[in-house]
Amino acid sequence: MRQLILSRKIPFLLGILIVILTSCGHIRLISDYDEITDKTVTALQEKVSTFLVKIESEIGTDESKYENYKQFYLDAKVDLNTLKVRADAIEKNKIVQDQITALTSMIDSLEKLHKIGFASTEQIEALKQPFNSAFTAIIKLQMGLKRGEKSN
Amino acid sequence: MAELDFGKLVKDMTGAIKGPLIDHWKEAKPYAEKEVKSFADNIKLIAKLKLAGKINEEQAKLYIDIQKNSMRIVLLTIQGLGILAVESAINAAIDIIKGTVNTALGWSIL
Repeated sequence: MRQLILSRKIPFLLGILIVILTSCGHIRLISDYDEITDKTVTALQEKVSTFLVKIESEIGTDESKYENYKQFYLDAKVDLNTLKVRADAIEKNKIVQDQITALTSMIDSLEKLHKIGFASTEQIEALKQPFNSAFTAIIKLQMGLKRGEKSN
Repeated sequence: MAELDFGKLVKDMTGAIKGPLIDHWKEAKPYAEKEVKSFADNIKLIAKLKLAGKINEEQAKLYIDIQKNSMRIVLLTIQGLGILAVESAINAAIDIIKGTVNTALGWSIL
């Protein structure tokens, strides 16, 4: 008898579950694409790329010293703060928030390295791949979120 | 300085990274393997710079921090793309039954 009641209840409960799950239209498990995040990350990527190319050509000269690049770090921190504020304001955005935190740590480490000083082009070479991979990955996710937005 | 076996480093890291990503390994594999190889290449470069006396321990740690955070960002993208795929699959499943359910119930609930 109990089994009969349960077997009649299961389809009903499944129906309720489907209605609850779908009552708000399409299911959203991750944040939407954010144009400002995309543009700010791209702008920061350009600044970092320009920095790496420029400083590589200046190694061994006074021009490569940290003191001459304070503006670059200031600009980068402004961009990172914009990204953090945007990421924190968007729902279901933990992954992007974590990416911005990691990117901020990368820029902090870069600044510390620069304060110690760059003495060879190989030191710059070792920075290009991790920064390129990081920016590519962040932009790739944003592009994915954009496609997800279009499909819904 | 002891000799490093970079082939073994890559193999060990790939094995370790595969475990948590096993459900999405097919999609994650190209990104994860590329990232592991880049990590090992950078360790190789750090070893070379150390041998040449061009970096100290503090600098080496900062390079590794940069590399670790870069790998973290890449893995977060893999995670995000995986979630997007799941989201898309759920929504596709709902779309398939939408017409039938709405018609049968007489309500536009899907």
